[in-house]
Amino acid sequence: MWLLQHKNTHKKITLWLKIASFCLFFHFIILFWIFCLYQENKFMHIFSIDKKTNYSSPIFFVPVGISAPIQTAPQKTASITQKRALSKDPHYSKTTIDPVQKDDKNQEKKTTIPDINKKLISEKTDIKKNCTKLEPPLTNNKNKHESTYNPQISHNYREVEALRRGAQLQKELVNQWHPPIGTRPDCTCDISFFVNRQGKIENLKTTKSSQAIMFDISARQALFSMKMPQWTYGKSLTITFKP
Amino acid sequence: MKTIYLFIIFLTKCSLSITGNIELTVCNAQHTKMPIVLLIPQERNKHIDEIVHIIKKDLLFVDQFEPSIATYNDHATKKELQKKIQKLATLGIPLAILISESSEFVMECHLYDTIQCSSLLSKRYKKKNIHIRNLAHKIADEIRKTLTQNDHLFSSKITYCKKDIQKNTSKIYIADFDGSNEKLIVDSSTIVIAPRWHIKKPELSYSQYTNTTMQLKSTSIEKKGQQEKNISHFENGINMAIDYAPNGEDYVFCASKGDGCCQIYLYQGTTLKQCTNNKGNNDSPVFIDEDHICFCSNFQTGNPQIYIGNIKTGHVQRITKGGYCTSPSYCVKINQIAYHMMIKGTMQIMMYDRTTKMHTQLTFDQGNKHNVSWSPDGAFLLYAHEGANNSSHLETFNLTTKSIKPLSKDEHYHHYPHWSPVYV
Repeated sequence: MWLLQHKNTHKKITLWLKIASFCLFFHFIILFWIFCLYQENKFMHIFSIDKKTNYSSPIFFVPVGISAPIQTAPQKTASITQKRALSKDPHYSKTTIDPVQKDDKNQEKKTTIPDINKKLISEKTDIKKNCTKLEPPLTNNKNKHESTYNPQISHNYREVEALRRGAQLQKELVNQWHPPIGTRPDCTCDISFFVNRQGKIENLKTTKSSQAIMFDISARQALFSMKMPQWTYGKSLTITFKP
Repeated sequence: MKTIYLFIIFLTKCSLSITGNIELTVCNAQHTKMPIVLLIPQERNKHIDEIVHIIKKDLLFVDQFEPSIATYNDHATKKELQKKIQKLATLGIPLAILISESSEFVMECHLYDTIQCSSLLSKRYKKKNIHIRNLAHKIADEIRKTLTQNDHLFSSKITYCKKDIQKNTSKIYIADFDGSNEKLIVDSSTIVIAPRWHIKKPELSYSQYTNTTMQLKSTSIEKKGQQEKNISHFENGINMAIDYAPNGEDYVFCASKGDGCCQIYLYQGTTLKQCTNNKGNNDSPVFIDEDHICFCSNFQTGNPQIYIGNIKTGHVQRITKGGYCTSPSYCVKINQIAYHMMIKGTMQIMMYDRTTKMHTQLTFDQGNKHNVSWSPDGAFLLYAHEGANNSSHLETFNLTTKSIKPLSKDEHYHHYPHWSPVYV
């Protein structure tokens, strides 16, 4: 009897160990999926970056819970950048509002004001003294710190990060790629490839040719001469080249 | 349990392999010339040297390539050649042309994409009955057409008049497209002007002054010893500026018949028709298509303007709005008309797009330009540019790069240039 019990406890222990390891493994997979792989649109990231958009301008977040209309956002950015610009501008100088010069007439008027209101007026003037007046922007200033209006406002930091990476990759490609002289303005070619874990390009295919071989060759040459960023490792990309 | 574990491991692998597809659009990059290497065998004869240097010069002319010459071992195997070509890709040269002589009469030309080490063009050319220079131009044309889809250019020729001011005579010459290999065609004791190429065969038509008239004549380039033919329809007055229709049979020209006013005539089939009947001077007719003719006339404003006339309906449309506009030339490839217009006292070259109806000024420098003519691929313009000291030289204008190249090297007075089509 005692021998049988020993055999059974061993089996029980192994069974419990198996169940525990199975549960742990399953939990690990789910947690890994949630924190590392899950994205809203996990199958496709599509960018169509317009050349008119200025990627160097900051992308401002709208805080969660505040439903700010798109129209007010550029005003905020303009004012913020304007303040910073003006502070760096050598022509900018802090000016204070002097209290209003007391004319005789005004003095006469003010003497009639009761004491309580005098206090209010003095408080107001104190506040005004402390405030610095912003000078209007100089129209002939050569160093125009104009803010560029970026209409893309996102609530999702992952999307913004993906946009930044795409813009960075595009900028590097533009530096490396030199289309040949004489190509038609309507020439475009699509090239798809896979970047392996070592950062090398594999399975490069011209999915849509431009009909000018020289143009396609220059695009391929640019891709091979470029060092792909780390975030592209293990991913497949499709790039459209336009002169 | 084991199967469950294996199934879970398989699921995780699948999830990790879902990477996502990223699409990007790249534009607004800086244009440059394409580097290309001409590979020739180390042991070679004069022919290959000459061919390669002509191909290099041709590719340099179009401003699209940066050609260089390199040698390879004749006895190298295919693998060694492949390695050499792939090595060019690492040096940043995406294209290579391999030229070799497979036999005494046959030349081989292979165009390679060095990145993928694939052949883009492989052709054999017979050296018999063809001049080495023409063969080199033909090879350069094929390479350019394969890479850029542009029509042939290097096999074409130009013709022009060279005036001797002291003797008051002029002669007609032909040369290669870049002004090299000049050859005298018409050596006349009188003045000859306005040579024009036939559209289908290598034949030149020109106008020759006589004591009282100007007669239209034609001569063949290829057939040596063939005498010139008089193709004038009128014995009196001016007969000049002939242009052939796309069918190669019909033609238009201008003639005055001794009246003092030039009119435009169309020879179609076997009949001669008068296209214009006004009190102005109508000249420089060019065919746009079988039904339309572009010409220059001053009947309306007193100053010459550019018109397009419909042969069938008789309708005439003016395309220039004032100024002094002359010498229209039409390009079928891009549907544009090039002409001259006086701007601030200087004749400049203008371009009219028939599709968009827009006029564009192409030249801005000093010195009058005359007699603009299109290249057969529609990428270049040829014209005479007047300089100081009563001189005039030939120049080409590259429409892609907007660059100007002089063609004539001597100090003679060059005028009336005309670019030939590429004859098959």
